[in-house]
Amino acid sequence: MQANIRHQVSPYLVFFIIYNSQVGVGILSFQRTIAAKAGYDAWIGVLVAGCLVQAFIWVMYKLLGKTNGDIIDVHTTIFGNGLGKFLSFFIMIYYWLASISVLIGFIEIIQVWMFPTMPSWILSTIILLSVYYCVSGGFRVIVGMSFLSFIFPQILLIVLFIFPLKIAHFSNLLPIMSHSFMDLADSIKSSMYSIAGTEALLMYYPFIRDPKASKKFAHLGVLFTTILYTISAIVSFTFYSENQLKTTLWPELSLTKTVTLSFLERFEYLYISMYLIIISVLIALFLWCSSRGLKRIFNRKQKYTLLLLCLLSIILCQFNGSFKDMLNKYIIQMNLWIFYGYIPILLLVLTFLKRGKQNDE
Amino acid sequence: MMNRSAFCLILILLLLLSGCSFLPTNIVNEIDMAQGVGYDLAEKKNIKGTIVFPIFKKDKTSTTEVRTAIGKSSKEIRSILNNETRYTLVSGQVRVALYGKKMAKKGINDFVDTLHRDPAIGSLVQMAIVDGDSNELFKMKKYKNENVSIHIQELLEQNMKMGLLPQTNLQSFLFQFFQIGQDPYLPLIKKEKDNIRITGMAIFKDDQYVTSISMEDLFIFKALVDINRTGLRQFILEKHDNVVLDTLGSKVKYKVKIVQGRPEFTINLKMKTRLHEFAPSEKQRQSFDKKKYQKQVEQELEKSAINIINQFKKHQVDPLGLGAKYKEHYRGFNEKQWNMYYPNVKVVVNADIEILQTGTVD
Amino acid sequence: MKLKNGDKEYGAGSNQNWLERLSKSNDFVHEHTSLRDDEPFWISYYRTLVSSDILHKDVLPYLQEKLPLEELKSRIPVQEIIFTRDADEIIQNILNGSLAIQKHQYDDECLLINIANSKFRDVGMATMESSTLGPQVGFIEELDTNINLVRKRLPVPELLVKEMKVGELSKTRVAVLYMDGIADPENVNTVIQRIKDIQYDHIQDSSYIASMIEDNSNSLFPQSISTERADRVAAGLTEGKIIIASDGSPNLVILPVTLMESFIAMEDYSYSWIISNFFRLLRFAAMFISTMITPMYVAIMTYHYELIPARLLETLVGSRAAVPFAPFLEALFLELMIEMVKEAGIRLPLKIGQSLGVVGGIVIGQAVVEAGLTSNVLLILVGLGSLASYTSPVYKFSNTIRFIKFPVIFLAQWFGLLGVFLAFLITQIHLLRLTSLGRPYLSQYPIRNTSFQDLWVRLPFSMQKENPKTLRPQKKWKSTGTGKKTGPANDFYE
Repeated sequence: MQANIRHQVSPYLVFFIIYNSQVGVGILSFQRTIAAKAGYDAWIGVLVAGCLVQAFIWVMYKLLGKTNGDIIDVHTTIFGNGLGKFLSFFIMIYYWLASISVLIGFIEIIQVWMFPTMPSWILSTIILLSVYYCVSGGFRVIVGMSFLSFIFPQILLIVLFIFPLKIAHFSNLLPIMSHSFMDLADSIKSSMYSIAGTEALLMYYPFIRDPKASKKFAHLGVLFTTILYTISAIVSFTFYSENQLKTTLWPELSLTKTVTLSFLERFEYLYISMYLIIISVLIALFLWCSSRGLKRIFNRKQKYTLLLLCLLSIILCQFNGSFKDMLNKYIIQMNLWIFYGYIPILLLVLTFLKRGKQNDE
Repeated sequence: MMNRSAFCLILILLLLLSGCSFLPTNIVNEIDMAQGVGYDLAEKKNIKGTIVFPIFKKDKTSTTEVRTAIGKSSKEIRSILNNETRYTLVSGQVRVALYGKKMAKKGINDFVDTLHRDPAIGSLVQMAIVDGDSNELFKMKKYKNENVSIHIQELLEQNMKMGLLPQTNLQSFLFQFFQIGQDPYLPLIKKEKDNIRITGMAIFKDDQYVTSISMEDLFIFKALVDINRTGLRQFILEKHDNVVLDTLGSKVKYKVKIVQGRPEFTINLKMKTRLHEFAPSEKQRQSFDKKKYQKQVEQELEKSAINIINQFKKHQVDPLGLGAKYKEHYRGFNEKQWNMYYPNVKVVVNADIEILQTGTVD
Repeated sequence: MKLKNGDKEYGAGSNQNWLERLSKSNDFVHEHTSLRDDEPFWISYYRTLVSSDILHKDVLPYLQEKLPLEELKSRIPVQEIIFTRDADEIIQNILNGSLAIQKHQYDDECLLINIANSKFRDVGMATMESSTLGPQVGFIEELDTNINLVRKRLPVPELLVKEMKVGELSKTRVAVLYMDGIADPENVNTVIQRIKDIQYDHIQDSSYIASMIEDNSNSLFPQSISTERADRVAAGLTEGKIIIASDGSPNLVILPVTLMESFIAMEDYSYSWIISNFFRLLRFAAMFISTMITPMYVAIMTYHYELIPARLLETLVGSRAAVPFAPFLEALFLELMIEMVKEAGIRLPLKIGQSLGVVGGIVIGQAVVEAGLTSNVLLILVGLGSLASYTSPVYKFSNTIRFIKFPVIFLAQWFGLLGVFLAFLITQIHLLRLTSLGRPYLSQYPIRNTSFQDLWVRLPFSMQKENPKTLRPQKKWKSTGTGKKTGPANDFYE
C-alpha cells in the first residue's frame, strides 16, 4: 500500500531517517560493552557490524520492493491476512519495546548525571508528550525533526571530539588484532545492537517518494553512522586506558568532561540536555512505526494506538533496575533473531513464492 | 477543544506543583562550593580532610574559608563539615585536590575514586602531592583573600603549559593508574616560608607514593613523557660553561626490541631548542660554537635520563609506561613476567638536540 | 449570505423605501433642486460623506437643465456614475459617498454619482519598518493609493487585483494582489476562498484578515508578514507571493511566508551581499540570544552551578550574593519590568514615551540593582535579550520573540537546562508542523537550493537565479543573465 503523495518524503531524506534511527543512548555507552571481551580491537567489530547492517538494508529493500508496501503487506501476501497480521504484531511490539529501552536509558542518564531525585514518570511524561506532539504532526514532521536533530545538535557534538583528541593516546590501539575471533564476534554482536534501528525502514518504506532512488541514501546513512560509531569508539579507546574504560559506564559523557571553554566550564550537562532532542526524535520514529503498524493491524485510529503505547510506556518506565537489564537482554535477542534471521528468510520465501506464481502463469 | 485545554491546564498545574518541589535546587548563592580539597593522615588511621570554599560578598572581593575535620572517609568528612557551614557543601566546583605525602604513601585510591565517581566533578581537576601537610598549605594567611585553590590550580596549570611540569590532572592520573604497564605521577608542591612552590614530581606505584624526582630532572622527565612543550633548563657543561636552553619542541619515540624474549628499549629524543643564556667559563666574549655544545648537551641529557630511569627501576615504578609500550609491541605480554624483567631491562637513550636559534646575538 | 438565527441583516435593505431608512440619520440630506414639487430633481446624500466642492461645482449646475437621467449621466463630469433601480445598490453607494439623483421623489430609477470626500493622510515615510538606505515610502490607509504604489513598481498587466467586500457591518474593501503566471493558482484560490468565507462584523485592519485565514490561528508565530513597505510587497509579488490589502489599513499582508523571511530586511539588498549576510545571520542569532539567555541564566543559577568557570564565579555569584529571591523570580521580575517599560513606551504619547524609555531603562534598572533586588549580571543579560528581540525587521515576529521567552523561563525553572532544550524541541516540532497556506513554514526543511540563494544567505544578484521553490512558482527563473559585466578588465584578464 503506497502512502498518499502529500505525506511522502524526498529520497535523500532517508539518509537522515537512517542516521536518526541508529543513534540513540547506545552511542553514549557502547564503547564499554563492545570492549568487554574484544578489548581495544573492538572498533573493528563496529566496522564489521556496519557492513552487516549494509547487507540488512539491501535485504530490506529487496523484500519491500517486491510488495511495494510495508512489512504488514509482506506478511499478508505470504501468510494471508490472519497469520500475517499476527506476525506483524510481534514486530510492532519490538518497535515499542525498543523505544522504551531508549527512554529508560535516557532517564537513567538524567537521574545519574543531572537530577538524582527526579521521578521517572515526570521525565517520561514530558518526553512522551513532545513525542506525541511530534508523531501527531505526521511522518513528515518526524523526518523534519530527524533532519534538524542532525544539524543541531549532532554536528556540534561531533565537533566536540576535537577536545579529547588533544590528549589522545593512539598507541592504545596497538597491537591491532590481538584478540581471538570469538572475542571479536562478541564485539560485533554487542555493536549490532548499538547500531540497530534501521529496521524502522520496514514501516516507513511506503512513505519514501522514490524508493529506488533512496536506496543509495540509506546505504550512505548507514555508512555515516558506522563511521560515527567507529570514531566514537576510537576516541574513547585512545582517551581511556583499557581498565579505566571498563569502570566507566558512559564513556562518551565522561569524555565531554574535558571540554572547557572560557565561558563554560563543563559541557556534559549541555550535552545531555541537547541529547534530549536526539532521543525524542528517535522515540518518535519508533512509536510512529509501532502505532502505525497497530493501526493497520487492528483498524483503529493511530491517535488511540499511539496514546495507548505512550501510557503503557510511562508505566513501564517506572520499573527500574532489573527490568531495564531484562528488557535490554530481550531486545538484543529479538533484534538479532527477527531482523538478521527472520527477515532474510522471509525474503527467500517471498522470492520463491513469486517465482512459483510466475511459473504457474 | 474544551477537553484538551482542561487537560493542558491540569498538566501545567501538575508540573507546577510537582516539578518545583521534587527537584532540589542548587542556587549559586545558597550553596558553599568547595574549590579545593585536601587529605592528610591523622592519628589512629583517621584522615584529616580539608575543604576550601570561597565566600562571596556583594561589591567585595571574596574571602576563602578553610574547614578541617577528621573522619574515616572523604564523604564522612564532608558530612561532618556540613554541620558547620552556613549552606550545603557541594563538590561541583572542585578545582584542586591535594594529598599529604604521608597519606599518599598509604595510597590515595579511595579519595581518587570519589572524585571519579561523582558526576558533578570534572575530569580536569588538578591533583598534587604536598610535601608536608595539605591542611597547612590551604590555611596560609597570605591566601586568605586570594582564593588559595584557584591559586594552586593556576600555578600548576601555568607550569604545565609553559614550565617544566608534564601535563597531569585527574583524567591523566586515572589513565595511568588503570593502564597496564604504567604508573601515575603527580606534581609535588611544598609550603616554603610564605610561598607555595613546586618542588618536583611524585612518582606512584599504583596509588601509593614511592619516590620523587627533583626539579633538575623534570626537564628530561617532561621531555620523555610529554610532547612539544616549552621549558628552561640550565646545563653546566665541561669547564663550567653555562648554557641555558629553552625547548621549542620535542619529540620522543620509544622503540621496543625483543632480544632473547626480553624487551630492550631505545628512546630517541629529538629536541629543538633555543639558546637563552650563554656564560662561557673564559671571561672574554666568544661566539657560540653550536656543534660543540649540542654534543655536550646531548651527553648531559642522556646521562640524566639514564639516571632517572635507574631510579625508577630501583623503586620498581614505571611512570614512563615502558610496560605499556612493551605490551603494544608484543602480543604475548604478561604482566608478572614484565615486572620480573623490569629492574634489569636495558634502556638506551639517544638525545638529538638542535639549537635552532641563538637569540639576537651570535 | 448566511445569517445567524434572530440576527437582522445589516447594511442592505430589501424594501423599496430606502429613503425612509436613510433619513433616520441627521446627516442625511434629501433635497429638491427646483421650486415646484413635480419638477425634477431630488437629490439625497450624506452631508458627512460627500465633497461639497464637487457637488456645487460639477453636479448642481447641470441639474438646472432638467434633462432626463440618461442624458445627465453623459453630461456630468464625474467618473463614477451608475444608473440603477436596485435599492441595495443605492443604499450601498450612498453610504460610500455617492449622490443619488431621482427625477421624482418616489421614483425607482436613480442616478448615483460618486462624489465621495476621501480625506486621508499623504503618502509618507514608512515608520515601523524604516530603513536608512532604499525606498522610504510607506503605505497609507487608502486602498487605491496603496495599489497605486505597488502598480508603479510593477507596471505589467500580469499584476492582478481581485476585490471583495468583507465584514457584515464594515463592508471593507479587501483586495488580493498577485502576479498571474507566477503565483500558484491553487494558493490564489485558497486565499480568495478563505477571505470569502470570513463572517465577521468588522474588519479594521488587514491583520484581521491575516489572522482569520492563517492555517493555525493558535500559533505564536505569524504565518504571514504585515508590511508597510511597497518594495517588500513588490519583491514578494515577483516571487509568486500573494498580497492582501484592505481599505483603511496601512499594512499589506504577504502570504505564504517562511520563518527565515522574518529576518530579511529590504535594506539587505542595498548592501554588499557579504555585509548583508552578516546582518541577516546576526538577526537570526539575536533570536536565539533573546529567547535563550535569561532561561539559561535561570537554569544555570538554579541547578547547574558546575558549568560556571572559576573566573566567572566571582562575578556571577558576587552580584547575586545579596539578592533575596530565587533566580527564577528575579528573572521573571526583571523581564516583566522591561516588558512593562516597553509596553508603556508604545502606549504613551510620543513625547512622554521617549523620556519613559530612558527613565525605565536606566533609572529603574539602576535602582533595582542598587536595592539588591536583582543582580547586575542579569540586568545586562535581560537588556541584551530585549535589545536582540527588536532586531527582527518584522514587528509581529519580534513580539513573538518577546513573548516566547516566558514559557522557556518557566521550563528552565522546572527542569534546568533540560527544560531549555525541551522548549527548543517543542518549538522546533511546532514550527515543523506549521504551514503557511499549506507550504512548510520552517524554511530549513526540506532543503531547497533556492534557500541558499536568497533566504538563509543572500548571494550576489548574479547568483540569485531561481524563484523560491517552496512557493511552487509557475515562473522558475528570476534571472537568466550570466552575470558577466561589460567594461574594461585589468591587464591580467586581457
